[in-house]
Amino acid sequence: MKTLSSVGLSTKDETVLKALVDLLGPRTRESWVYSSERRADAVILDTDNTQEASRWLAEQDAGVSTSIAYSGGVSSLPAQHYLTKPLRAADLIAVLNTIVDRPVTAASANPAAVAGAAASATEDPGAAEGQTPAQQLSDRPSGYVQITAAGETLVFDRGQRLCQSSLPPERLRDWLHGEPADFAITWGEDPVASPGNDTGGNWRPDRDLLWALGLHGSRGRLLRQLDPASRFKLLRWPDPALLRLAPYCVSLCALLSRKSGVTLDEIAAVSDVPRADAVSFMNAASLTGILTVRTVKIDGDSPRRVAEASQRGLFAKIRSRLKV
Amino acid sequence: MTQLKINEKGERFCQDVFEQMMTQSEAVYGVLISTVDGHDVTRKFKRDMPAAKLAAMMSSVLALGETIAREAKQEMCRYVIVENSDGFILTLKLKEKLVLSVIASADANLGLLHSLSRNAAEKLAKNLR
Amino acid sequence: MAELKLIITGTPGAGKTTAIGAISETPPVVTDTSTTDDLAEVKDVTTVAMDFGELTLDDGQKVFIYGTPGQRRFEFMWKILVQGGLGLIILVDCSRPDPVEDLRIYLENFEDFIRDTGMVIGLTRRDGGQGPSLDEFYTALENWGTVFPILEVDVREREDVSLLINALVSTLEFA
Repeated sequence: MKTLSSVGLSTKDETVLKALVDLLGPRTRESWVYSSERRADAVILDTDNTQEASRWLAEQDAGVSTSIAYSGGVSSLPAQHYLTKPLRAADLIAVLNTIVDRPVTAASANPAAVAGAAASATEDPGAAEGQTPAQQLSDRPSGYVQITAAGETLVFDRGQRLCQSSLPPERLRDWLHGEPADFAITWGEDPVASPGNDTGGNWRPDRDLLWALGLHGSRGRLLRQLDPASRFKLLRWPDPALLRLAPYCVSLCALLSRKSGVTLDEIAAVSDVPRADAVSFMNAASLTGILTVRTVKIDGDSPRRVAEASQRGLFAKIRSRLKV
Repeated sequence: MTQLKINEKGERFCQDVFEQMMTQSEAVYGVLISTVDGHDVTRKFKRDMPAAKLAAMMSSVLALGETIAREAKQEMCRYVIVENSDGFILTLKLKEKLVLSVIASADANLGLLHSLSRNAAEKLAKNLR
Repeated sequence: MAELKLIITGTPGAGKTTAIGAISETPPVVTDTSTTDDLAEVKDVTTVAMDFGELTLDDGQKVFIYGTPGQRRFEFMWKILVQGGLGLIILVDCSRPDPVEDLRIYLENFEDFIRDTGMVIGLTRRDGGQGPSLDEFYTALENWGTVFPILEVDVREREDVSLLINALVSTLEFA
């Protein structure tokens, strides 16, 4: 049995949520109950209520509860899952079904260890064995995360959505594509003070770096909390500078702009974007909070009109002329 | 919206000129002064016509005429003439920022229409600031 | 060959003529005349019929780019210019008093054309984060269901205008 609680919801939403959870029954893989504890297995945060949601995020030890941002527009706070208002049973079920048991980390197993900077820092033993930088960041919606490799360091203040980097942006891509075993990822409740932690930069908004990390630090693996069978849809397009980081970004943004979203299989069927790139893009969009996820079955969804082959050739020619 | 306006005296002068044009040729049933960017300034219409819309259209058509002339390597577009089964619409620059449009029925003699429009434009240009 | 025609519209002074000048491979054809109203405080000349630029594809086929006049009194030109068009770029000048309302007006004016084709929105004159947040613009688009691209651009830069056209073409192909 798993517990679900909420933070910052309106009275009406909270009532609806409790009723929905009661009615979920066998429709979710695990059985869920509503709990008023702030530390449940999953917590729905009304991110439009910024104050309450931020306070909760700040109080959290990384990895204790799975956070689900619930917002009327684009969530302004980081979370592992996103729900769009109003609350609908199908969306809630889809999200709950993608929540998997979280790996026990030193930080989550022993929150009491969070005392000073050194004590709070936790080395990730799993970095080399498949925990991609994108996954590590996604798993930690609060606290600090530091990624080090080849003498360079990125630091993220997850709660404040800030970052520092010792790398010039043009080297980031190659750096992220480096040998997985070389990456050391640490996290904690305070900035990690360790030798060589000289990022040489000031804190700045983390969105550009999160996007790059999704694109180049995913190693072809979809974030654990994203269900590969989902329909993915964008809430908005990323900034022009981010679109330019990879040539496939504009096509994928357009595909994910469809009314009913798109699945990874549909992307493969209608575009020539390799699956690994599509996965990286989903991770980037998820990390930057512009992705929504829907259950795969949409009743009454009409078959998609796909541009005819002759037209598609034409669009390719226009792109080629624009040299993009 | 602030736009070009003529004073009372100027308005009377314009109406006199319009009246003379309509006397010289009975086929003329509408005269309109508008700005080059499409605002209606003053007019005399014997039939019901949408002055504001025509003012905008006249500025478009005159600008297009001038642009087409330039593309065809011809200088100084003088008139844009639209000849229709029911008549003529003749448009010309009056001053740097003003446009004169003359609307006449099919009975009009195009040569006469040209000359009375040109004369009126010269007279108006001299007297309007 | 099908006619390839893209249309750029938006408020007076949003940069339609500049955008066409930045991307066209031939000197753009413009129909500028002196401004005689309040707009004169912002710019000396304004488009009264259309702007026109072109791109030649590798196989010789041409893409025509038409800019519309911005002012509502030239609505008749909008209707003429969109005929046979492939899609629409709306430029929104963020230094104006109510850019979101400006966007709404253009969405309404070109509603049928947008439903039949596709659209991308370019936010211009946004130096120093001028104007409403992106959220406010996306909210204005909510009832369309489809997520249209809203991109902050400098239309003097060819690369930015290219991105707008690329986003439009991708939307037409995939969205």
